[in-house]
Amino acid sequence: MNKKIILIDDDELLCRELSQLLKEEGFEAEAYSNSELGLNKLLKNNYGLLLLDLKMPKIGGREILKAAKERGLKTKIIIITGNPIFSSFLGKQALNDSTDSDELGFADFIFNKPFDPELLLAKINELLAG
Amino acid sequence: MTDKIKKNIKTKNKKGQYKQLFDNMNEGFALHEIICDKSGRPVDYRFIEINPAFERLTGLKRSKVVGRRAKKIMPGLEPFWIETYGNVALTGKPATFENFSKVLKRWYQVHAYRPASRRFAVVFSDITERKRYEESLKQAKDEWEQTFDTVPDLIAIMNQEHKIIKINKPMAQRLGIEKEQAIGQYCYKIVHGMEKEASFCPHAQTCRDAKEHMVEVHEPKLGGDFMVSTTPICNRDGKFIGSVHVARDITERKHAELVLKRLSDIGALAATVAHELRNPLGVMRLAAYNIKRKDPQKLFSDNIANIEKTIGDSEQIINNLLYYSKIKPPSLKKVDLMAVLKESITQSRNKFKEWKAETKNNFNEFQPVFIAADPTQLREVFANILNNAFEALPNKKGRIEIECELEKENSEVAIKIKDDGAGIDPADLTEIFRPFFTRKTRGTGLGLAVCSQIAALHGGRIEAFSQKGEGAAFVIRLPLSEPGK
Repeated sequence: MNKKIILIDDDELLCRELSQLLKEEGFEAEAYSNSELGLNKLLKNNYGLLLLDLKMPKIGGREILKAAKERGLKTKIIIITGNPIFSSFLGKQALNDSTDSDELGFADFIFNKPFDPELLLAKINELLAG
Repeated sequence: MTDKIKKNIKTKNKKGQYKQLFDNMNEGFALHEIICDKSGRPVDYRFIEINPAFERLTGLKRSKVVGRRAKKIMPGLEPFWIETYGNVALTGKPATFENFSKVLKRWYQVHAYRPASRRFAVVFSDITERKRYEESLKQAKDEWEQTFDTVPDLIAIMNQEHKIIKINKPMAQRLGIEKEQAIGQYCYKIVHGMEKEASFCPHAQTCRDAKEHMVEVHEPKLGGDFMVSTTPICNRDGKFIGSVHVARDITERKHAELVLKRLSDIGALAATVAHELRNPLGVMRLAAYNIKRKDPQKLFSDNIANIEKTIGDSEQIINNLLYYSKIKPPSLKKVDLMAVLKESITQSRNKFKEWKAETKNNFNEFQPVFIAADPTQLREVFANILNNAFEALPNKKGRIEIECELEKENSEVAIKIKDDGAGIDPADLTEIFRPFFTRKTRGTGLGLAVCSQIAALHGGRIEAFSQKGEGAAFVIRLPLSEPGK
């Protein structure tokens, strides 16, 4: 199991809290609040999983998804978003239901902020094990 | 030639002239003898002579009429005829009238007089066509009046002096007067309570340029907002004589526009604020979780639970605000309703997993139920109603029953979600679907408004049932997909 997780979110506090949790859970976590830098790292290194925010300055989550799709990355992707395009109930189904972007379908799952950390951890473990 | 012969010839000539008149007149003529019973009451009459016009106007042949009794010739003859003619024959008082003969199925105008004792003569004409024409005129007039009074718009016809010529019933009712009372009154006085026409008066404009004018007016005296139009009317010579003044009540539309404007403002605000709020809420939730993990003695568990609950509430408020302002037509696809419902129940149970609440449902064995729906919107409905049900439970414990029923005859599926909480005040039952209505200490009052909007957009509806103290039940009714769709 590749336990390397990259987190790209422009909210520095979220990066701090989430990477702390991931590390405590035994993952190797890298967090980037600068999305440009994050994208660079994503494309250069081999991560097991990407945790990705959508609305970010400079390079947005959709662009990162697009780049990952073009590159054919095998990294699992979970979107964590505060973007109000989705209802409170999310998941892979919501990504498939969404008609406004092809890139979104490339992700494996989606959580709305504020998500339940336990559900997120469970989903990370499930994706990395599969 | 003797005088006698001369007189005979003269008489014969005179008789000949009368005979000619008698035979050629357009009116029917008949001479009769009245027949009375022993007490002297007229009971029938006998025909003595008739003219050719009589035959033509009644369809009765001379050979079948002369010398015979009226009742024999015309069985079912109405008593009116015998009574009226009897009166003429016995009193000598002539009578002129119009009456319908049921036997002959025609209208007649009749003049009856007494030429000799116990006799009467009638001169009559067939007025059936005229009567029909009058009837159709009357009918047309009635129809017009009825239409005029039935249209919900307030209509008045006014002359150039702003005097009312005619108003319809709805307008009279709005003014609190009888229709007739308005006639001849000044419109500005009776409607606006003013001494001269208002500056916005479209009728005044129409009087000036003989063109149609339209204006929106708020009139407290009539209790609302109106779209008023005045259309010029001219007489046969094309001369302008006044206008038709139509006021349509747009109070509700105005109100809806206001609400819509308010919602769209909220929507714009909510969309920008929500993203900004969700991020810090996300951080708070993670931070709370990180503290919880480092507190194995559960020293802070109550405090952390409060933080988590508050974060959850805030999220729901944001969602409802967003959703209500952004509800759009559902993008329908074939959806297994049962799968969506089960997911939603699991989601809600997770949210309230600390509570001693149980859910019970009747559809574990249920087959998939496919409907045409927007799954995201459906989840929103179930999540809202399930969360409400949980929140209604007293002291965080109780039971929520979820039932699903296929109502084939209505092509409907009904999902009933029932809690055993405090119930809803009957007076509130109709209010709870109204936007911004809430009895929660914290809430936007948009949750159920969102749900009922979504249900309506899916061609369904939501019903609420409750007795105070006996829990509440919400039934979500959605149309089943037509076979093959």
